[in-house]
Amino acid sequence: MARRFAKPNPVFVASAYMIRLRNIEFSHPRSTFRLSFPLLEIARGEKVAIVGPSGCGKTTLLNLIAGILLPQSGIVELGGEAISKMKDAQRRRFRIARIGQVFQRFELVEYLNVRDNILFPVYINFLLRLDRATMQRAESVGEQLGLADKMLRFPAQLSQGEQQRVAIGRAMLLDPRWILADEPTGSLDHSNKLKMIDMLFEQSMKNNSTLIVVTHDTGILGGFDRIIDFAELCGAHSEAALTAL
Amino acid sequence: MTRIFWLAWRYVLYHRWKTAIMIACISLTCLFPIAISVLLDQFNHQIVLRARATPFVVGARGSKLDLALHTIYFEGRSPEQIPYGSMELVTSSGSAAALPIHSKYTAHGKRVIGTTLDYFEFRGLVIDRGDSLVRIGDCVVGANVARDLKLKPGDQILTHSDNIVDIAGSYPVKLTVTGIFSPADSPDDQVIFVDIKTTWVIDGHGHGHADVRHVGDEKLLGIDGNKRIASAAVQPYIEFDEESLRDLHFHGVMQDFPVSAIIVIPRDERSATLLLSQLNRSESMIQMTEPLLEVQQLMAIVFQIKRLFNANALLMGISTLLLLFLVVMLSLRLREGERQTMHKLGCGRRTVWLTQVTELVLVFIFASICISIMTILLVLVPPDFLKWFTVAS
Amino acid sequence: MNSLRRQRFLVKISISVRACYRRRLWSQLIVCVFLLAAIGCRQSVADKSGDKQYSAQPRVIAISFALKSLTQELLDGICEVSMPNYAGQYPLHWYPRTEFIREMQRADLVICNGGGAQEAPWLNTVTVSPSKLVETINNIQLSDFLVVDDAPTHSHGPEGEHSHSGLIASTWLNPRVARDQAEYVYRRLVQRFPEHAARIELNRHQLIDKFKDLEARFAEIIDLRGKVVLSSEPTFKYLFKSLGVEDKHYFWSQEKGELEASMWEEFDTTRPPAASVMFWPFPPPPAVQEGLRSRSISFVALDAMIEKPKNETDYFSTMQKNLALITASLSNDLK
Repeated sequence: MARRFAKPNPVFVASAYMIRLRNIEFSHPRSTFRLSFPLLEIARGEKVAIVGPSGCGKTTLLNLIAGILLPQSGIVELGGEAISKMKDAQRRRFRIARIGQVFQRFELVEYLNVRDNILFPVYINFLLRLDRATMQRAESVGEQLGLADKMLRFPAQLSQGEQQRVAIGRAMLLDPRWILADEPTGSLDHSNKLKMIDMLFEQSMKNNSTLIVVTHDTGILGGFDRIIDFAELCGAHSEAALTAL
Repeated sequence: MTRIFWLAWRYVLYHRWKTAIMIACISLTCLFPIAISVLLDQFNHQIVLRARATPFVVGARGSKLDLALHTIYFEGRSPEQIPYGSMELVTSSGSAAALPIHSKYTAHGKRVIGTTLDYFEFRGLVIDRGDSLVRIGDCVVGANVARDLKLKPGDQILTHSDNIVDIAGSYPVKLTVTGIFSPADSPDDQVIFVDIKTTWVIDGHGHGHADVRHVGDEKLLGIDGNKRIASAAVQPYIEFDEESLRDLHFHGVMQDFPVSAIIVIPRDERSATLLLSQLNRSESMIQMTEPLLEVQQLMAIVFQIKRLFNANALLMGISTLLLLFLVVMLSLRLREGERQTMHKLGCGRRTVWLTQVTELVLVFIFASICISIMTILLVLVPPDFLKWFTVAS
Repeated sequence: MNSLRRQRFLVKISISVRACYRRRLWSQLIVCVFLLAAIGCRQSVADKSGDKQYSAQPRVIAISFALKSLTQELLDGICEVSMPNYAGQYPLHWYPRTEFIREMQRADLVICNGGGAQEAPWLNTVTVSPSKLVETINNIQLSDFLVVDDAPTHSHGPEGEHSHSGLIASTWLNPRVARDQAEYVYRRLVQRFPEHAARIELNRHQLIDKFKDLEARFAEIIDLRGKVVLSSEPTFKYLFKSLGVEDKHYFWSQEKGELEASMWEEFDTTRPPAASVMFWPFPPPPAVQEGLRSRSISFVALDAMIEKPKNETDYFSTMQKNLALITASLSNDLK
C-alpha cells in the first residue's frame, strides 16, 4: 500500500487545483453548528491563511479537508481524489501518507520522546516502513527544527515553542503534499510566531506542498499567497443561496 | 504488532510508578492464595516426610499429636516421662528397634536431647567437624546450634537447671562439644545431642563425687559401722573428665530411669501391628502412636481451614479486579485526547484500542512474572520477617 | 530464616491451629493458617534413615577376659575377639582411652555383663549403642544372682544416704551361670552374623562339651563343701558358691598399702575362727601380708578373669587353675 501512495497518480498530477471543496454542507449532529459553502479551491503549492472569528468553523474546515470529518453533502477533493468518497481505512491511509497536520494544542504523545513523537505517524501505521532511512529522516527533521539536542526529551520537558516545533516536525516527516496547521502560533511570542511561520513556509516551498494555516493572528499574515476570511466565505455563500432561492 | 507492544512498553516505562502500583496490586492479590497453596503443600510434604521417617513413637499416655510432634520436632513442653525399661517391651521380641529420646533439658536456650548413637544413624546425621559422642558429658551439636552459639569442637556449654531449688536433682552439667553435625535441614540442626546417660546424670540418677572413703575429716561428718557420712561439701561433679568419670556411678536400676519418648522402628508390618495392640491396651501406662497418622489428621484440619482462605482470596480477587477496572476506565478517559490524536493522524480505532489494551496486558504479564518470582523466592528463600514469630526454645 | 526455624514455628502454629479449631476461634485460626502457609518449608534432605552398613569381618569386643574367652570359643575360625587392655590396672580403676571407645563404637557387638552386674563400671560412662551391647546377665536366672548388701554406704549432699553395693559382677566364676551367659552370647552372635551361623553352631557344641567337663570337675569336688574361707572382696562368691564353700568377704582389694586399724579390728572380731585362708584377686600389699601372717592366715591369689591373665590362657584352663589353687590351699589347711 505504501508503494501505491508513492506512485504518482496521473489525475493528481494533472489537476490544476490541488484542493477543491464543492457544495459543502456540514453540521454537527449534536449541536446547532452548521457549515455551508459552494466552493473552495486552493492551488498546488499555495500558502493560504484562513482567518475568522472563533467558532466560525475554521477547524471544521481543516478536518473536512483532512478527511477526519465528512460533509453531509458535497465533495472534498485532494489532488483530484475525492477523499470524502473514500472508505474509512482508505481515507486514513491517504491522510497519514499525504497530509501533515499541526494541531491547535500540539497533541504530542506524553510518553514518547521528541524523536518518537516525530516518528509517531509511522509507529501507528503498519503499512509504513520503520527503517533506518525513516529514522534518519526523523533526526533530520528534528535538526532542521532546532531540536537536535533535545531528541530524547519528553514533551513535558520542553517549552511550548519547542513542543510546537515537534508538532511541526511530526507533520513534516513524510513530506506531505498538504500541510494543515490549526492555530500553529497560538501560544508563541511574536518572534517565535514568525520563526514558526517561516518554518512552515520553508517546508511548504521545499516540497511544493500546499499550506493551509488557520489563524486569527493578523500579525503573521504577511507572507501568505491568499487570505480567506472564512466568515465572508460562508456569508457570501449564504447570500448566494438566498439569491438563488 | 511489534510497534504496538513497543508503544505500550514506552507507556508502561514512562508511567513506571503507576504501573508498579498496579502490578503490586495484582501480584499481591494473586500471590496470597497461590503462596498459601504452594507453601502449605510444601509444609505438608515436609512435615509428612519427617513423620514418615519416624515410623512409631512410644510415650506416656496423653495427646498423641503432642507426643508425635514433640518427638519428631522436639517442640513444646517435654511430655510425661516413661521408664527406660519400656524399651524392652519394644525390643524384647526382636521385632523392632528402639531409640530413646530424653528431651527435658536445655542449654543456652537449645534443647538437649539425650539419645543413643543409633539415632544419628537412623536420621542419617553426619559429623561435619570433630567427632561423635564418646562419654558422658560429651555433646554433638546441630549445625544451627553451632552457628547460633558460635561453638566449635572443644568448647563447653552449661546445661540450664530449670529449678535451682530442686534438691532432688537436675544438676547443671558442663557439656563438652565433641562434634558438629552437617546441616540436615531438619529439627536435628537445632538441638544438642548427648548420650542418654548424660541426661540421667542431669536428672540426678547418676553422679560422681570424691571417694567418700578418702574424703578429709573436714568433710566427714561421722562413721557409723560401714556407713560414712560426708558433708554436702562433697559436691557432685558438674564437669566431666576422665578422672571424674572413674567415680561416676548411677543409683537405682537403669530400667527405671526416665525417657521422654521412644522412637520405634518395627521390622515389618506384622511386628508393628502386634506392638500397637500390645502397647495400646487400655490398662497400659504408655501408648504407641504413628506420627504420620497424627500429622495427617493435623493437616486435614489445616486444609479445611485453607478452604476459608480460598473463599476469602476469591472475594479479595474480585474486589481488586473491580478496583482495577475502575482505574483503567479512569485512565482511558484521561487518555481520550491521545486516542483522538492517533485517530486524526490516521490510526484505526482498532489499533488505537489495541495499543491501550496491550498496556494492560503488559501489566498483567509483569504481575504474572512478579507472582512467579515471589512464589519461587518464597519456596527457595523463606521470608525473613517470619523469624520474628519464632520463639527460641 | 532457615527452614528449621520455620519447621519449629510450624509445629507451634500447628498446635495452635488445632486448639483454635477446637475452640472455634476462627479469626485466630485464619492468622495461624496464614503463618503456617507462609512459613512453609523447603525440601528437606535430612529425613533419611540410612541402612545399616555392616563390616564384612565381624568385629566383636568383650569387656572381661572370661566373656572374651567364651565368645572367642564361639567365634573360633571366624574372627578374633578383642578386649580392653587393662595393662595390669585394677579394672575398677581403669578408664578407657578415647581410641578404645571409638573402637567399641565401630564394633558390631560389645559383650559384657551389663545391668547392675557390670564388671566394668566405666562402661556405664561411655557412649556405645545399646543395640550393640550384648548384656549377658539377661540370661541369668534371678535365683543365681549374688548380691552384696553390706557394702559401705555413705551419705552426702541432697541425695542423702546411698551405697554403691549391688550385684557381684564375676558371674562367670560359676560354670553353670557362665554357660547361660555363653548361650546368650551364642544367640546374639547368630542373630547378628547369620552368615556364620553354621560355624557358630558347631563351636557352640564344642563349648557345651567343655562346660560339661568343667561342671563335672566341680561336681567331683565334694570335700570342700561347708568349708569357710576369707576373701578380700566379694568377687569370688560365685566360685565358692558353686563349690559349696562359705566365704566371709571384706572390702580390702582397693586399699593401697597398710589397712586402717579399725579395719583390722573389724577383721579380728568378724572373721570366722575356722577360716585360715584369704583369697585375693592379686597378692595383697606387703603390710597386709604381714598382718595376715601375724594372724596365721595364708593368702592365695585367684584369677577373677576380668582382666587378661598374665599367662595367655582361656576360661576353662583358668577355672581349672583356680580350682587347683583352692583345692590345694584348703587341703593344706586341712593338714
